[in-house]
Amino acid sequence: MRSKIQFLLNGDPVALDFSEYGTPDPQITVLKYLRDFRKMTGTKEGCGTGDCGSCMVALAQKDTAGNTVLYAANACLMLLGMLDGKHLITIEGIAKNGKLHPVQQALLHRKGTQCGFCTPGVAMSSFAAYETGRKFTPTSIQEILSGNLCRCTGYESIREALTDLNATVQSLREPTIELPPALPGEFFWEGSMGPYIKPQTVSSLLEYKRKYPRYPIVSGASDFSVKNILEEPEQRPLIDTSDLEELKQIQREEGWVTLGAGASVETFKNMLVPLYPAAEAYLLSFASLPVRNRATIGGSLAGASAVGDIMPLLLALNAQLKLRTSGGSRTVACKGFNTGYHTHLLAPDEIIYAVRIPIPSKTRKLFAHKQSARKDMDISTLTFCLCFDVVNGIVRNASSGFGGMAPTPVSSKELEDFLNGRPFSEETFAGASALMPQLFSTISDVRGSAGYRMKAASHLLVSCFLETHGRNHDR
Amino acid sequence: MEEIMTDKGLETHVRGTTLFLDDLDKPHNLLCGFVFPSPVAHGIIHEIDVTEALQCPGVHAILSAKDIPGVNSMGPVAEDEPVLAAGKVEYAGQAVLLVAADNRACAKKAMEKVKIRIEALPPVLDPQVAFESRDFLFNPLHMERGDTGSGFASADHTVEGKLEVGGQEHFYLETQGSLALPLPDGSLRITSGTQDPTANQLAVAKVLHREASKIEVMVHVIGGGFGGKETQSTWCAVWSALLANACNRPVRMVLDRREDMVFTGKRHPAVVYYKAGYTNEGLLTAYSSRFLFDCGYCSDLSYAILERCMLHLDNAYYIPAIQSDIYPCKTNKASNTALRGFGAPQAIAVIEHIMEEVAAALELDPALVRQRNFYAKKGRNVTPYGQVVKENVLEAILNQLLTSSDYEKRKQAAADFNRINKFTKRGLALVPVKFGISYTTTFLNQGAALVNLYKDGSMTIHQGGVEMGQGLYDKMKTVASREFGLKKEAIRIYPVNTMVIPNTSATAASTGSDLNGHAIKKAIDRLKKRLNDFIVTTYNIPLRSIVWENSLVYDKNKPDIKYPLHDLVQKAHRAQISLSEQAFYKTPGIFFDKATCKGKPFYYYVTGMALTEVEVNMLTGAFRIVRTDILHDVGDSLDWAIDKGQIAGAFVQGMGWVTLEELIHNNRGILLTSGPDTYKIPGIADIPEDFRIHPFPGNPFKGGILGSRAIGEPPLIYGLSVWLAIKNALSAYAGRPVILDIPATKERIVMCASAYGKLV
Repeated sequence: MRSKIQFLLNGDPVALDFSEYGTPDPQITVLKYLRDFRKMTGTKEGCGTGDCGSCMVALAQKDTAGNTVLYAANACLMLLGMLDGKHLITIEGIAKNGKLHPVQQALLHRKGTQCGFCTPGVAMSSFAAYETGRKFTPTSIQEILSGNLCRCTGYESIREALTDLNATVQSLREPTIELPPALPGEFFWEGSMGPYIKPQTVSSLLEYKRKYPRYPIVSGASDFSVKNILEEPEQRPLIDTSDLEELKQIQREEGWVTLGAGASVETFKNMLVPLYPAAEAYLLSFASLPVRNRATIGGSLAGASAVGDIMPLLLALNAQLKLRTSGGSRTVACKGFNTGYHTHLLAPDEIIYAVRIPIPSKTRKLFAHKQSARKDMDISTLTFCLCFDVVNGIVRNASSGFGGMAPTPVSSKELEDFLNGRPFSEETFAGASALMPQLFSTISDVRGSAGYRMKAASHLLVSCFLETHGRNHDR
Repeated sequence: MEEIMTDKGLETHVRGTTLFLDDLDKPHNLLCGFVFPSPVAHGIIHEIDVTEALQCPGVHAILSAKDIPGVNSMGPVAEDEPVLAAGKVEYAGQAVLLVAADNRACAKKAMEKVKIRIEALPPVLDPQVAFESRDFLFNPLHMERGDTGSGFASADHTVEGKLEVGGQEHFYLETQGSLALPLPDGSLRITSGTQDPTANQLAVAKVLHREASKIEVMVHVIGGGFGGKETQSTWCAVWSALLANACNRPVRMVLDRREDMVFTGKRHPAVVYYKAGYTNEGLLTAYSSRFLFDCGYCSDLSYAILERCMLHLDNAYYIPAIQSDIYPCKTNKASNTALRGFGAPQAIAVIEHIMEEVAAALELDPALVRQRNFYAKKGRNVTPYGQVVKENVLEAILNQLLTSSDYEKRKQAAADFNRINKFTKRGLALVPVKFGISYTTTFLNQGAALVNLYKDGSMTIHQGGVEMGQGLYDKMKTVASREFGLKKEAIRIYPVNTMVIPNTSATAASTGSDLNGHAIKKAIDRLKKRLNDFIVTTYNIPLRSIVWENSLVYDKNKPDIKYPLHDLVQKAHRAQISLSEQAFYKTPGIFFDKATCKGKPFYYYVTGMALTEVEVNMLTGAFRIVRTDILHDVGDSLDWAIDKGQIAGAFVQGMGWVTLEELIHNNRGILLTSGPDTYKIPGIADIPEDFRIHPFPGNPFKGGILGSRAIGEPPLIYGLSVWLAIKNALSAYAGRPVILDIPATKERIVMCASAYGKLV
């Protein structure tokens, strides 16, 4: 047990012992730490909820394979305790000996900054991409800056600036960034905000979960931190699994790929897309790249939101979940995991250990669509995912997942039954589309009216046919 | 690609070292100020008891309306805006109490202990309802020119209908804030995130019952304004000042994003009824309209906003007979306020909508219909309010844009695309703008500057314009540098301070560069004149051949001998010549009679055009902007890179307003879209895939500062081209013109498409 963490901040070693007077709680956000405790004000607060990116920083750490990775992350979502063993780079740390970093130069040269408030965040997202050797194409720029809002420039000058960087950016590579030595032992500190526990093994995690079933497991903290800023609870006990490598492993076995629940959504995307290319656009619309870098697959599932984007996809894929307690484990189908509005069948001491995805046959097709007001960084109005085989022109083994159409993500057996055995044709899907109002009763909320939800969901069956059929025009 | 000069002035932005309000060093003893907002949209306050709340640790003061030393009023124009609610609350989020505490957590605990009894009354949330009960904030505006009755009678056709136009949150990235510091002499220094430091100063003086001379307001750069920090920045300044005064300690008040979005006003939504008459050729003969503006609960700047709406009903078109009634409807919402465009975008949306309707009905090219209706160079060139449209380049811009954008070919290609695609449709739309530059409240068109030259030849400029990302400081440096022949690096623009430049007008109405630039130029002209006389005697250079250039002076006939500026300045100082000059500028020749609605309210017009092509998926409502071409007349641009950035930013902000951005209140008047999770401004994936912005060349404005024209607001209008392009794509799907309200969200697009025929 230790009460100390250490990390590098712009190259300088920082050791924080939380038992020392004056050290803030490990539960505070990295943003608050930087601004209030370090007086490093280059990192800005624009919203505090991970939506605007003014607080963007870059993080370097080891991945599960032992390689150094560097990525952008929202400082308003990340907790101070999560910095242990990492290298945190802020806007103050990217110019070297007074000389601007190439992304700073490019932004300056193209006047990709006007009021300047979002600029440090834009620079840090771009820095992480540049230092890992990403090319700046129109598509990659959208992804790299998917977590940054700017109200002044209209982004055009920023896009020009990033495009200019192609002249100097190196090819994809492992960044050469120093990392601090890992401290031995498990981190545990109970401060004024309650216990902050960082188990090092799954068995230790399960033991804590048995002892403290009410403590939330926190990893990406995208839910946890947003809740904190909205509700401002005094007590924020948590079990931090963000560095629990055992929960991030990828394994392949006969017909299945298994991914640890602690893997980031970005890792999930990179694993899944080679198997199901149609999932790429869908997963690219999951929050923003910086959020995907830290948010985990298990966190999305355990949140059990009606509009969580991961579960509808898993439902369509016929995925399974491996659940564990200190006493044992079980494997359940994703279908049936959610039991009601924001509830699931996890026992209080049970965790989602891994997700099992079936490896698709050649005849398997996937359609996955997220309907949201904005392309990036938006919560879905509804999602619709459908997986099926086409055998001799006939639809077989259809499996569906809907988000935002019911209190939980759901499959529709009626829809699947309707499709199975029918020809793979526009008529079939138009017929399924007409069935929708009988299958669901939608609700109205801030993200859309009930009528719109129903219309869009019905239309998506037609989109599904057009996309999976793969014509380049739609008549 | 244009070669763009690197600008040192923005370097602190990319380094992250620019100090915004909350980045400043915190003074010793600092307290944090918070607002206790009304939880209901409309109600009577029966009781407030803060006894228990005051006992909470870390709480230093809780103030209500009765604790205000001066007047409980901070409205910029009318006395209808209380500092703190007294007796009644009129919107959810209205400030009722102020809390000074050590931090947010302490304040939050105290607020939970506040005992407040409010009797809720039914809120009015729909301007239509307010209109029907004649619940107006001030007298409606009326304008009329010609006889619309005979205009409609002589028309070959008429079109009439209703259009709803949504509001818009400013979403400046830096939220509202202020830092109030009591000084030992009894005065108060306020650092404010404001576009209008003088308004802050006078409001604080009035509320604290103190002389304005004791209230110093200064502004460092601000993280975006867009009109939202014009009058409503006053609130944090006043609130922090009240708490600082009560505690005699410095107080910081910075709203978090949700507070900012709930408390402060937005762009005015409007419901518009219109009727237009037109000939077989598409020429408008008459246009009548009724605008119901949703003003929120108090008047704020609504009068001026409705007035600018009234003066932009015509946009770029000559309309022989026109009449309009514009109603300031009172609703139980935050008071709607200035936002880039200031009433003009709502007006222009309607007339541009009508242009599309006319073109569709006559099966004419919408660009042609617009061209036919443009103000002419001779005849047909007087606006409804009597101002002659001069230096008219509408036709020239149109022709150049149609050519450079390959309009005819792309229109055909879009039609071909639409023939082979059932659910995906393309649409194009062209939108011109003619935007009047000047405050319509004529006296506000004034600026002042103080130019101080130091003995080493460097210069500090004090002026009244706030830097909020629009590049004002840089443009002012450009003016001074060119006019004084001084290296740009030697010039510093000092943060705006009411103790140095008094009685400033807000940095608003796109007038920042004009008013302050002219004042700086005047001061420099005087300073130069004085020094020219000295140069004649000191360096023996004939007056007419003196050249000021690059911090050197010389005789243009003897360019080999150059005198460094510092040498001249030092000699002048020893000769007891003042090296400081103050100047005042007022916009010449403008006047406007509000009673008759006639005059010359605008010094000049800014014109330009945008053409946008979109591709819309009828099944999902998703669209992409395939390409946007903008041709914009800025005269001789002071800095094209800045102006281009302003155009791109304004376009995208306008595009957000007409597509993504939607304000939703529930039936109790609670704003549901109160954060960036539910209120969506455009992201980088939403902008035009191909974005071409060019200056219209060769048309300097002689009365402008160094031949330039204003830039801030006019290009926002171009965003309307995205809405109309979507409308045209929908019409192509429906096979007839559709009505598409603003904003054209995915929901609206899907519902509109399905209303015109079963999609599947």
